[in-house]
Amino acid sequence: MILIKDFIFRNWKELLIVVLFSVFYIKGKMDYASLYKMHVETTNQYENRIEKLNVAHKEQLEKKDEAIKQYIQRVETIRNEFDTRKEKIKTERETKKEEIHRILIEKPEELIKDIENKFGFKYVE
Amino acid sequence: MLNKMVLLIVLLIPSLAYADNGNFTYMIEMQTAPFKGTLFDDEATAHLLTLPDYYNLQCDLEMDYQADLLTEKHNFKIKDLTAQVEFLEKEKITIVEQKDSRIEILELELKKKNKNDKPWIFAAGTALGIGLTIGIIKSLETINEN
Repeated sequence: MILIKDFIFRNWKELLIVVLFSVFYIKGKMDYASLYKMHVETTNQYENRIEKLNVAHKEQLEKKDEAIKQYIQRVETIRNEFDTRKEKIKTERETKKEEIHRILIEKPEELIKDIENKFGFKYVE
Repeated sequence: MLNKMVLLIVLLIPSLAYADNGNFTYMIEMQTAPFKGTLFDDEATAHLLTLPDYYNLQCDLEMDYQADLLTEKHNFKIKDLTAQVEFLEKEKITIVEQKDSRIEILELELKKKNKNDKPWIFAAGTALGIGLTIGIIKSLETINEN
């Protein structure tokens, strides 16, 4: 114990310098650790944000693709419907024409009113 | 000469049509007509008679078709824009969350830095001062003894 005390009394300047440097070193290390921790947390946050944005963007693209698919399907259906109805109208017209043709041969006077109403022509004997 | 005749026919036909919507009659072979006119055969007459209804139906069909196409186009646009809005909403939420988290970390760090440790610093300073004074005195004593 006395030896240690003597040693301290003899080398107190050197010891003081060592203690002070140790304090500065520990403080510096603590500050660096704190800054590094913040940096790591910030990086993690950005990575997390990028990941979330990637997921959201993927979802958006999937929804858009789904919408495009539905649109194409719907347009196809509408076109088919249009073609079918067009064909039906043509067929109906052909039937009507045949009927008129028959009336014109059998009883043409039945069409007088029809023609007068449709075109505003006046029938002359 | 032929050109003049065609021109005359073209000019006369509309004037008759617009004046009284015209006249018509049925004619058989060798029958004389009560006026100069156009004779349609049965096929042509049937064609003409079915024309108004046919045009009406076709017009309705075309309108329905175009309206359906436009509706689908706008539905698609709405879906696309809704997806975009959802994405932007999520982006906004992510940004806000990140900023909140960052503010929390900085506040925590600031709290650590602004800890009320002035008494400790004062005590450490005093102790260091006393220690240094004693040290200086002791060293002076040692020098004087030597």
